[in-house]
Amino acid sequence: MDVDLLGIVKRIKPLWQSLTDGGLCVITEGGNSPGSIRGKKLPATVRHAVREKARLEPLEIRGNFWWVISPSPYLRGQVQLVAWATEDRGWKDLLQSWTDMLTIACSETAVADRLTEALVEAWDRLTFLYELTHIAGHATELPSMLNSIVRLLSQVVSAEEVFIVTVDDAGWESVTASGQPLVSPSVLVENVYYVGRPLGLAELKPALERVDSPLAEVGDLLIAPLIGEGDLSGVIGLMDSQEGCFDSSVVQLLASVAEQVGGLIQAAKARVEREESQRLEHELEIAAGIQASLLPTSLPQIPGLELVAYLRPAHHIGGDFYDVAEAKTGEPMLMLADVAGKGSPAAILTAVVHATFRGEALHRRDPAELLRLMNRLLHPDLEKAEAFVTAVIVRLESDGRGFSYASAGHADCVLWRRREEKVELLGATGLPLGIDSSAIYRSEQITLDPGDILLLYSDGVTEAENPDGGILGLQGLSDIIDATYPARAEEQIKVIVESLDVYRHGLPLRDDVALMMVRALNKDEEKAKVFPFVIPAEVLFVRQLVDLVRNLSSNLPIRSSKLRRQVADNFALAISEVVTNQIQHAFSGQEGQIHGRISIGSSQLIADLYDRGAPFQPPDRPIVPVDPDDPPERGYGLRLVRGLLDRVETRRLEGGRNHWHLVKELTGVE
Amino acid sequence: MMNIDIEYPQSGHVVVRPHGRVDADSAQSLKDKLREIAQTGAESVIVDLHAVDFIDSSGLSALVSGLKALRQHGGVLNLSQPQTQALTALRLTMLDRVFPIFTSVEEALNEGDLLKP
Repeated sequence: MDVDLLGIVKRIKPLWQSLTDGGLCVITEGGNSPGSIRGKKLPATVRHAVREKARLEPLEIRGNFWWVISPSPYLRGQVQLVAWATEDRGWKDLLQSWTDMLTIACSETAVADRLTEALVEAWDRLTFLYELTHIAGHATELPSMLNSIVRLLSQVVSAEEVFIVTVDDAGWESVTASGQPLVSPSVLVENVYYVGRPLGLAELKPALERVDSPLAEVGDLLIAPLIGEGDLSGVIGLMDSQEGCFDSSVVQLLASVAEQVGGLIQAAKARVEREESQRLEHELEIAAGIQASLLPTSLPQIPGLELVAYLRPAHHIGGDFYDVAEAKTGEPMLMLADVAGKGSPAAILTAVVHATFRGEALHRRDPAELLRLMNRLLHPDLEKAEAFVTAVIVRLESDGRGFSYASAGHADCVLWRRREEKVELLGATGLPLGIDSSAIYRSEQITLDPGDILLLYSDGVTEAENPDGGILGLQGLSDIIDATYPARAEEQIKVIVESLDVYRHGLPLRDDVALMMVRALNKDEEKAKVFPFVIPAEVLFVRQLVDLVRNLSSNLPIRSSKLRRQVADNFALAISEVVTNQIQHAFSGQEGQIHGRISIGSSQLIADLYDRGAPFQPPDRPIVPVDPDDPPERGYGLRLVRGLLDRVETRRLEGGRNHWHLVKELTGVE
Repeated sequence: MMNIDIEYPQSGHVVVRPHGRVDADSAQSLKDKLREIAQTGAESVIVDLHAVDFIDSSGLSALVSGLKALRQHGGVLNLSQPQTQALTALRLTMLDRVFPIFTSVEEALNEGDLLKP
């Protein structure tokens, strides 16, 4: 065997082993075929293929892959490669090119002399590209990946130094094969950035000399831009003390390596970002869990009062919350608060506010005094975080006949008075917490009459936006309370929350929603079954209302189930006619909502509907009997409503609302 | 959405079978379907209300509109098997005097056994 051949075999054997963890042997003409490679016995099929000088597709035998490669048909000379590996990563072409090269080396010594060096280099480069994919698959972090790449590249090209400079928003970082720091990396990055192709020393020299960089004095220098998805992510480069050592083949190699490495860096960065956002998501979930666990697990029971609370954060974690505690004298204390400034800092502060409220409420009785203390305690933390808190604290009287409240800059609370069916607003009685450490607060005493409702809410409720840019406002909120009274507090809260969804009309929730409702029970109304509802003013949604009414049939005080169903069906039809008519005429394509309630009394079925559409116009023509020979195409709705109901009243309320009152008498139905 | 099945049991006869609700949201498609059939010169159309569990005034208007279109082309429109809800709506609007109502599609085809209001 030729000396050159031996030299080549010596190089490729360990390369193959390091690439594949397998083994490789060379068989020349006249030589003996081996019985084993690296202690692995050649399977019979492989031995047969060697004898037949066949070119085998990878042969999988007992979990290993075997190749028998003979020279390409147009090459003379007889050299075969037999190789095995534990997995096949497309090695066939690599083995084929090696075999061909060995064949040339054996048969054409003269040619081989000239070609050997170039070919070995070419194989090394081919192998380098295989290795690159290997590194990309295994390296978990960008710095270690870049380290492997520069070291690998330094084995393949003849250069004293190989380096990579990466650039991101935070600046640049460099990695070198020698481990020595790289000088003037920013000059390299800036210059390659504008050109976008490999640059040699001659082109870089003026720029390097301008900043007196020692790089201007090296023998040869070559850099190429690392580009991934169109963005420059860095520079890869070679340096040597020998002048002019980087010829065009090296330029070509570096350009193709740069392309690959650019893609790898991009992919690695994307992976890091993905992992980071997953980690953040996970942490937010934990934070949301902690926040939810801070809410009271149960609400106090007070005779004569109903108490309901609701919270929905707009994001994982929010700044709105509510809490309950017991005053020094035993009465329930309620708090609804909004930490201004969303996101993590606000979320952490909510925990502090919770703790301060619970701790201090135990020793106090007066809401104003409690706010004053909380403000003093929280002020340093809030000031540091550049945050403030609006909060309202309510102490309910044990007899359920009233409450006192104090409000630290919180949005006006709603007090709905049953007797007047009107809303009173309970304004702030001091500054938000965290503004002035010596702020003073005032408490107000309020009496509750049967049926009265106190609603604490956060601004996410009144500032809910619709697609036209309108906000629900206090008016919208009191409309809902008005239309759904006297449904149970829990039902009313449910309709308020539904109304917010209807009002946003598909817009995402932008702000947290927190609600607390206290309702003084009214004995006269407790027996009535009241079912509140809200639907968008669109024909498509009338069905929801029809379903609601039909499903109420089991609540009707009628013995026959068939009759109950019939009464419910008829009432549903009547409501459907009224509501469809309202939507078509009072809204005529404009957005809006219809609120209301169905009430089932002992002798009446009643529907009250409210909307802010145009006033109802009664038909200008009297209803005449239908002529069987020429029946009208329209106008059956009013006939149905008249025939199905005992009473239909419509009135225009103060402030531009329509109220429909539909009654079906149940006495005499059976 | 409401489904409408169409059958052609005999030459010149068409059975139209809407399913579910015929209300303000879906009546237009029934109206369009009936007018389209009238254009084809059908002699007799039977709207089978068996699978209609809710009909409102828009649904009734669609039936009247279909009836008028058929009459113009010399055809008739009969109803069969209305459920309690539909029958109530027809009676309250006195449309039970306008439409012949049958107990089944077969009866309507034979034009026998009118469902007596």
